[in-house]
Amino acid sequence: MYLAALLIAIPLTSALIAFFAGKRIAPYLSLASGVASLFYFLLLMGSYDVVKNYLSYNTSLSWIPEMRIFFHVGFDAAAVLPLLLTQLIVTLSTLATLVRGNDRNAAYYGLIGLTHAALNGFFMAQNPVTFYLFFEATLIPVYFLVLQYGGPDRRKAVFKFFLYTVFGGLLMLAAIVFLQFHMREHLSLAGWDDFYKNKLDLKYQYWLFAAFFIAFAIKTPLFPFHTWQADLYAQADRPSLMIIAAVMSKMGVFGLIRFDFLFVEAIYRWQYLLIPLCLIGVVYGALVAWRQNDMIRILAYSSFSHLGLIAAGILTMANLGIQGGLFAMLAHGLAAAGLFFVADVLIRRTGTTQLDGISGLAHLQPRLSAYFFVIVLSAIGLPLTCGFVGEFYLLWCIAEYKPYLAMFGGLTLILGAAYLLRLYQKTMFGKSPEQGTFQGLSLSEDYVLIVIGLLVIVLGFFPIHWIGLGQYAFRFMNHLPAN
Amino acid sequence: MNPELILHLILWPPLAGFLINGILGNHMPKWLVSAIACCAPLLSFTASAVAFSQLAGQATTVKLYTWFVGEGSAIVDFSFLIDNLSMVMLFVVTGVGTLIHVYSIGYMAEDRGFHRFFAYLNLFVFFMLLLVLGSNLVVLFAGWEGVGLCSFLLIGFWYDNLEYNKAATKAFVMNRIGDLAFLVAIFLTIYTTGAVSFADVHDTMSNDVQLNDPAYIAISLLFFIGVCGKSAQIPLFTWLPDAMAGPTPVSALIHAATMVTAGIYLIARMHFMYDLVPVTQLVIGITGCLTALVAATIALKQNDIKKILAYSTVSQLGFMAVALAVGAYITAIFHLVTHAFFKALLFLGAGSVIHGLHGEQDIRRMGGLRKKMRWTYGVMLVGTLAIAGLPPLSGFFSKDEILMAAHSHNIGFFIALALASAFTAWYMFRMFASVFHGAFRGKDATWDHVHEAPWSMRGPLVVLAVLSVAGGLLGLPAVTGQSHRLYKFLVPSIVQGRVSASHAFEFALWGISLVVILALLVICFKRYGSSGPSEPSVTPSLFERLLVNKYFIDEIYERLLVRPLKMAGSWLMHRGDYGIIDRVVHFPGKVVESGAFALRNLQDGRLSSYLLYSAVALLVFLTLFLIF
Repeated sequence: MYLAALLIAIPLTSALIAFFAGKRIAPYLSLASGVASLFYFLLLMGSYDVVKNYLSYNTSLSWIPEMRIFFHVGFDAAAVLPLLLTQLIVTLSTLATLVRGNDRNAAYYGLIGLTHAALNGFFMAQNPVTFYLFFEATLIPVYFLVLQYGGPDRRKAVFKFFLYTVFGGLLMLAAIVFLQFHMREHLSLAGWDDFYKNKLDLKYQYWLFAAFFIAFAIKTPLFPFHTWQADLYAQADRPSLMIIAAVMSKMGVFGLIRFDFLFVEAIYRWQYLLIPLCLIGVVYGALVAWRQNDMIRILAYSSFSHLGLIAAGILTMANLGIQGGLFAMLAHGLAAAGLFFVADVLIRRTGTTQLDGISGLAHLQPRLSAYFFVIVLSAIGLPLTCGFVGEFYLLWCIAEYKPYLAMFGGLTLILGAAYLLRLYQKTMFGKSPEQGTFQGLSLSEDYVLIVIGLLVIVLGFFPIHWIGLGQYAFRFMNHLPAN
Repeated sequence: MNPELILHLILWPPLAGFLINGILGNHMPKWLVSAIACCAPLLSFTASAVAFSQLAGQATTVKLYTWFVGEGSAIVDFSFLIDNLSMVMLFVVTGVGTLIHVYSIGYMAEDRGFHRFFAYLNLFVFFMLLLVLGSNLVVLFAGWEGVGLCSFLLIGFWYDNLEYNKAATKAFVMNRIGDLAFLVAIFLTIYTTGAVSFADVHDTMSNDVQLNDPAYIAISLLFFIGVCGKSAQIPLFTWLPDAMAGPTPVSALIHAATMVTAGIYLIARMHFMYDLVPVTQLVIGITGCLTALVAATIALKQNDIKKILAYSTVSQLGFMAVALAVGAYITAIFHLVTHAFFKALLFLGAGSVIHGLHGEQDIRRMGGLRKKMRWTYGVMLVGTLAIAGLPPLSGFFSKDEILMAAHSHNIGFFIALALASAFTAWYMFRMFASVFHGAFRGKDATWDHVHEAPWSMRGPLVVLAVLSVAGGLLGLPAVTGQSHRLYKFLVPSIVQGRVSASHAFEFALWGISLVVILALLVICFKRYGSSGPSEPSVTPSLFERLLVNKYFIDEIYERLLVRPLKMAGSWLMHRGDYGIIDRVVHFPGKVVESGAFALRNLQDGRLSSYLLYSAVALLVFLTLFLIF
């Protein structure tokens, strides 16, 4: 009955304890909760039968009975990959803080735990109100994480981020309130499955979808709502940035998957506009990333660019797009976490975020450079890494929609290679600094990189079981008339 | 032995070699590293021989597992096809590959990246095997991108040098332009035929008799753009000369014998489609002719020994492309094989020269090396004559066949290629005479240290020299009354008629090419034999300037593509993000702020006002959105 809720309860409890635990215990408590959630998640996944019980481990409570508002979380096919990503990245990000000279206080780990709980809730939410609750709930700990532990210009950056996101959230809230009243009779405890059966008038669909889309476009971000992103990333505390960039950036596109089956007609009507818009972001982000000299900004724009492709794939409303979108979320999450972590390793050692300040580390750190390279390969979508499979599906469905758009969006293959190899070469290649000035990888750093590197390769060779889940999420399309 | 076991034995040794040397190589002695590295392709070669003896003539597909499933019938298996075409490629890749591995032991002996080098080389062989064995387009694509990756790693092998890094990135990015087209071609193939494996695509397409179906034109052209990237055809060839930054064995293996011929292989593999689209064939033919001519003329004026060979490779790939264009797929493969022999030989010979001269690559500072490097001299002579097309060396037969095939289809192609052949003989003799004849023009100190290569390098050279001489036996022309072995072997995989011409024409061709080659030989030795290439004249003619500057193609790309894109990137950041978007978001706020200056005191904290401004701004966006 409460099996799904337990996945929220574990990090939440540990977060609450962490706030009051000492500075010594909190990191390990947080790590333990991350590992526990990961294993608990794997346990749930192992006994999850997507064919028999699409929606499993339901936890549903009556929240405001007069308005038929329920708190409802559960485990379904669409949620599996994002949940896996969340458990992995939160654990790795906690591990990433466990380095020499770590002076983060207990509250930091408490906030990480709250973020974790909120993210788990978000991906497992089974109705719009619960979805909205967790959508906003993630905002608060992240707001404080950046504000308390970020860089010198954090106030401005956080402010910008907060305004954007809150605005998007408000639009979504309005839409959800409308939905709630409009569909009151049709809401049930059966989760999204029943929810999608609602028929919405086209005139409502337009407005509601616009509200949702803008909220998600801001959150992801998609062009042209992206300008908060690089500023925020540049200021954020880097281990927590792993969570922000790898998992939180997926909330928007995940929301698109959750709601697109309700707005099928509206999306079909606007596809011709929205997909190119997303793809403009792909090229825009790639071009800007290519011209940056700040590692974090390169990665921020890279993330913006890749997510545009995911959104475009999802908006094609094709089976491939949903499968590829979900898988690409996982792939991008792993790569982004890995890249931001490598950036963290480099910045902590060299004290600079600028490319000019770092060079020739391959001689001194062959292992670091090898891990870094594998992660870069996945980020540029080389076959036999997981990045390829996701990108392949996304471009595939875009090509079936309009081949020339696949050519345009596929420019990310070329530009992505250009800017990520530039980043790699500038830091790893070239003249090496004096021997001994660069401290080797610590054990915890090694673990983070090994886990990400191995997963990238293994999922590249054997993606089928993971990517296949997407088609179960897609079956809701069948309730609805095709184009 | 069952096919699956054979496949495993072919495919995995190089990957294992990569993993062992890549992970543990640092802690192993050099002899062990080189033993593992050389055994890996040798094992694959042996297994290929087993495959040849057991499976020849029958196409065998081995499915390992399902990689992923797209929509409908497009199931992408991790599966492999051993047929006669892939077998030929297997022998080239593992055979020449093994020789080059052995050669590298001597060549890279002093390098501190010894184990890294061999790890990359093994990884390259693995991806190349994936490429030639893949039974569907996606596995082939995986190998295709993988070899590009290894090419990147090996071009930039000496990564301290920023120029080399640039060359590596250039190669990778230019290849990726082709790869994007390749990828879209895969999608369109799946879309039109519903299939992804070669066998299924073939079955669907062979039902089609309609020529120039627009969908097929699009697909075949897109594939050809991919080929232009990988096989260095105009307009995507400029990465290959720069790729010479890598160690010379890399140039021999990747940038001459195997990887750059992957495009030729791809079209031969998809020949059933190209037979249906004469339009594309014409495009390929024109591109091939232009490539052959442009690269050959550039090679006339180059002074870097490796660059000459690189442009020569580009030019020869143009020859192969023309052969594909006129439907002589087997001829293209024939030239691919002989080219692999003699070009690998030439590169390795050049490597031996560079090694002997301690890194000198400029032929203006060479000369007279025949006295000190007898073996190298001998094998290079064989290689030079083979590529020039002197009968009865291997290059003669394959090039002759391409010329014949071109002649019977399009006289324009024939003339272009004949001209390019003459240029080929010219630049090769020029290089050869400058390097080995006359007096040494470098520093005396260098001359004293000139030495012949060690046996580990000489051995592979000799084997390749023998192959370059005898390779022609694979495909004797019809006029000799002998059977064309390669044709007979490949016909089960590639349906095509045998290339032939009238006896009179053939004999005329032989006679003329013999006379021209010998004449050029004499002229070149007179001109360059004693004093090497002349210094550029002070007032070069326009044509000379074009050649010396490689037709300014790199500069044109830089001006027309790279710089505008860079500017766009900067502009988008400064003007786009901070200028337009942020200003639009803040604009309503600013208006309210200035307009309501007097009422400012009424406003509470900044947060809410900003919230309001942004809300209004985004509402504007929203409205715009809905209007559209």
